[in-house]
Amino acid sequence: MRESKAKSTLAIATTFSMIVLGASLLQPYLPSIPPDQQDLTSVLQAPSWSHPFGTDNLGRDLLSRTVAAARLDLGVALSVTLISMALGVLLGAVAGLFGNPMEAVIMRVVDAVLAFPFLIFIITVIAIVGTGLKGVLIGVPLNGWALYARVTRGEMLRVREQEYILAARTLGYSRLRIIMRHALPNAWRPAIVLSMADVVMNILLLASLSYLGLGVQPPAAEWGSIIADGQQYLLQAWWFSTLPGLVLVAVGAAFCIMGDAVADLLGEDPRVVA
Amino acid sequence: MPVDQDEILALKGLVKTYRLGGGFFGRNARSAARVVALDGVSLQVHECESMGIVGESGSGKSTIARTIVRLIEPDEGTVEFRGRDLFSLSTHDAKVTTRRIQMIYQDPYSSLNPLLSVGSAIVEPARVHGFVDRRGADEEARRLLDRVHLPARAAEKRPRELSGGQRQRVSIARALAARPEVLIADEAVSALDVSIQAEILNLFADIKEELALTLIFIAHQLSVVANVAERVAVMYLGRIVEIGPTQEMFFRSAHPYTLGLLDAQPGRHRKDRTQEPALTGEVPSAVDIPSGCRFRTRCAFAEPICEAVDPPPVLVSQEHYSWCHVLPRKGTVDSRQDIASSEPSSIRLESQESWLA
Amino acid sequence: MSQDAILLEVRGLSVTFPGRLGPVQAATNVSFDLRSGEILGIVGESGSGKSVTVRAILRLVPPPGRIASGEVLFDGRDLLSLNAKEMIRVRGCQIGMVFQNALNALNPVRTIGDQLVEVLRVKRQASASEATESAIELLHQVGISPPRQRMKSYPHHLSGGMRQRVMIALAIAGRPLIMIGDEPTTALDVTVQLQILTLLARLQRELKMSIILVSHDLDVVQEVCDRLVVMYAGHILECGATEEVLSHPRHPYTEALLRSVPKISESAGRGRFQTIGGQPPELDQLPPGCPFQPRCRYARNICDEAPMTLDRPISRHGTACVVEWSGNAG
Repeated sequence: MRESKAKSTLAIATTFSMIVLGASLLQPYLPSIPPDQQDLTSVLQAPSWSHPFGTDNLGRDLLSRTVAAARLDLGVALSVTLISMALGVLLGAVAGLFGNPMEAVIMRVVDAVLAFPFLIFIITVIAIVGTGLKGVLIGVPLNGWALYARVTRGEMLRVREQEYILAARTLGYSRLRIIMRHALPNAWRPAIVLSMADVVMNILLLASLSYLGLGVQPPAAEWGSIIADGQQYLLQAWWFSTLPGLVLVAVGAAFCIMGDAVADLLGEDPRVVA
Repeated sequence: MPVDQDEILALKGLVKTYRLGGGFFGRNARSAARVVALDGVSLQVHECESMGIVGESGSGKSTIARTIVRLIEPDEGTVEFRGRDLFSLSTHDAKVTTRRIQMIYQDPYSSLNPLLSVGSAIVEPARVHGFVDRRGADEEARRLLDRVHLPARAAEKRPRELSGGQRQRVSIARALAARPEVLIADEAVSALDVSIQAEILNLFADIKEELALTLIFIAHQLSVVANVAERVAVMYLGRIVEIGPTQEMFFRSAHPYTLGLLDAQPGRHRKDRTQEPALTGEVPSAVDIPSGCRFRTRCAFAEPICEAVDPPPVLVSQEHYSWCHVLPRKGTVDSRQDIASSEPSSIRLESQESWLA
Repeated sequence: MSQDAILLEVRGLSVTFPGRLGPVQAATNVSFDLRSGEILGIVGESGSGKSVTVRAILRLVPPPGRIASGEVLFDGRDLLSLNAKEMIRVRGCQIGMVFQNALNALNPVRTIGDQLVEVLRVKRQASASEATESAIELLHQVGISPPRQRMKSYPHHLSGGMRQRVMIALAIAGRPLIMIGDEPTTALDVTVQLQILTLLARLQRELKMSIILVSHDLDVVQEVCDRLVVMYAGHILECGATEEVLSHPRHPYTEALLRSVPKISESAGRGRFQTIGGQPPELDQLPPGCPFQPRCRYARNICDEAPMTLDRPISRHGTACVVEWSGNAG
């Protein structure tokens, strides 16, 4: 009973994410109201058939903007996660496999990065580099790799003791082959699980930064900035912040659910139970 | 000892110690404790022979295996393969040479990469060393599977679909793909069910014959080694304490530890179960090896000289050596009766018949 | 030991686990007795169901496995019908258990003294000082010396054999009538193994306990067990006095198993082993009737309908084999 409920939840989450993703990617090619089109005659309209999410203070269709924002938010979040993961997994694998002194150096840097308050770090980077996407694209991976490195190194410590790694050495395989074909593929499982949660965090981070005015600048459509814009109209036009906000929450939840499923899937013990 | 013409592997004076960091042991003001894994091991293995190495935990038998395949580098001593010291070769030469010595590991559940199919895993060594190219890979996989008596369709399976015995066969097939001349089985059957052990041991015997391999069998169970090895070396705390032809070792053993191991083999129903086992206590910590003969703390035959002097090898009979001050002097089979009558009460030497199945 | 009282009766015990295609029987219709003052061995290879069976006695089958049916009669009650509280009272005080790997079973962050005292206070309702003295006495009984000083040791300070002795001490702390050992010597060196087996035999005599010893090692059970139960793929195939079963096996599996065990003998170094042949059983693909059929050289059609019960009362040497082969003259 519980199992089927979990399965249907997962199905809903995946379908929803696919719809959002699909809509955001196809939007430029489908006939619909452009997200930037202002119509000062229909400002702050309530949701209706022609504007399912209503309009904002410049008459722009909010549904259209929300979908466009998905492109930005998801795109940036996924890219940034991938970069962090690639960097972190590589460094963590190297640390785990080759030991000291490389391991010591890498892990101390990891400790330092993780100890530093993240928000201050990212705001500092933005202060240096400037607002807009640049700040996020540079700042997040610069910090985000550390957790992947730690998690991968930990797993690598376990993997390198496995007898198939020892066998690979006795059989005369090159170091590169051992790392790429035998060690890494067995050590990046925790990193993948981490990345699912990381994507959600990065979506929220981008939205938060934009909400604070530090991320993307208007008129770019981005969930956080839309919510920020709508704040002052909360009492008159509740749909302005709320509906895009709900989409943000729903996407975040969907990714979390999918992440749990991936974790369960990958967490299967590859051993046969005798 | 003279150098044999057909000597394929020679270990000379191998020493390996590990330093223990802080933690449980290194709490005193002196320098950190050292664990002695190997304390001067010399051994010659002849081509095409079946050599057994037996010992309990801390004996160093696994360290020897890993040193031979160059997973561990000894602090002192040499490992010579066909006369060439493996540790003084260039990296390239070493790689080419060590391919000819392969190892089968103990744990069937961790010796195979869970992500690779059986076929890919066993053909990989042949590809890496250039024995086979991509086109010949399938054929090679079939050949290897056949050699270890696995069906051809096993090639598509993942390790998790196989039983322990089947996985060990795959490990053996993979090792054979490297065309080795020496095969080391490091407790290769210890993790398997009894009836499967028998199958794998038979397999080892088969491939040794078919491929004219030299086999080194490492085990903690005497009975396993007794049936597959022509010669046996018994190890204790990093040293070989007795070595000789299998029959000799088990029926005319000349070292108290070997006698203790034999006595400890379960399976002869002690009807009254009141007698304490001959070997009391446990293996001393490898950090604190007893002076003189390292076995003296558990030995019923110990004499004053045993505390003072490290026993040199004594030739007991042809190719049979024992590192003991006391027992070899008392002679072999005939004198065992004397030993039985003059023994301290804590050792019971049973007559030869009891060892027969 | 002929007419001793029967301490424990297991009747028709079945344990199932969920499988890919439906529930899998890890133990099927298992029935045996434990008499007072005896050491009963349960012998089998992987998948035989021996571990699951003894864990079921103490209701310790790990989920998602569950006990599907059967009774475990002890002290006039069916253990399988007790509630959790009553079961807790049974564990430790009436039936104790020793596991295979003491390093996993002992709490690494507490001294062995603490762990012993805890058991004693809970199970024997001893005061702190009584418990400490009893703990030292227990350590002495299991052959750990010097016992008083060892109370302060942590598990990782001890060798494998000593840890196993501590496990045994914990198991007998509640002065149980029955002790179950689930492969207690498998991970130990040969010389230590013998010491532990001798210890178990001695404790059995001194404390008048009965012991169920689970092992895959025929030599180990031969060493200390009075009677044997042979299991395969969740079924009992044979049962009887140890000497009897091992010298005159009445089931083809027992016979084949005995032949494949390596022994030190005059033919050592020259022979090959006689193997059983075939593949180990897959619990979700067992044939009807006797599960050993695919590998049995005496298999006939009637094996499909074998009821898989012993042909003689449990107190005698019984077999579940329905074929009259040379070892089973009927």
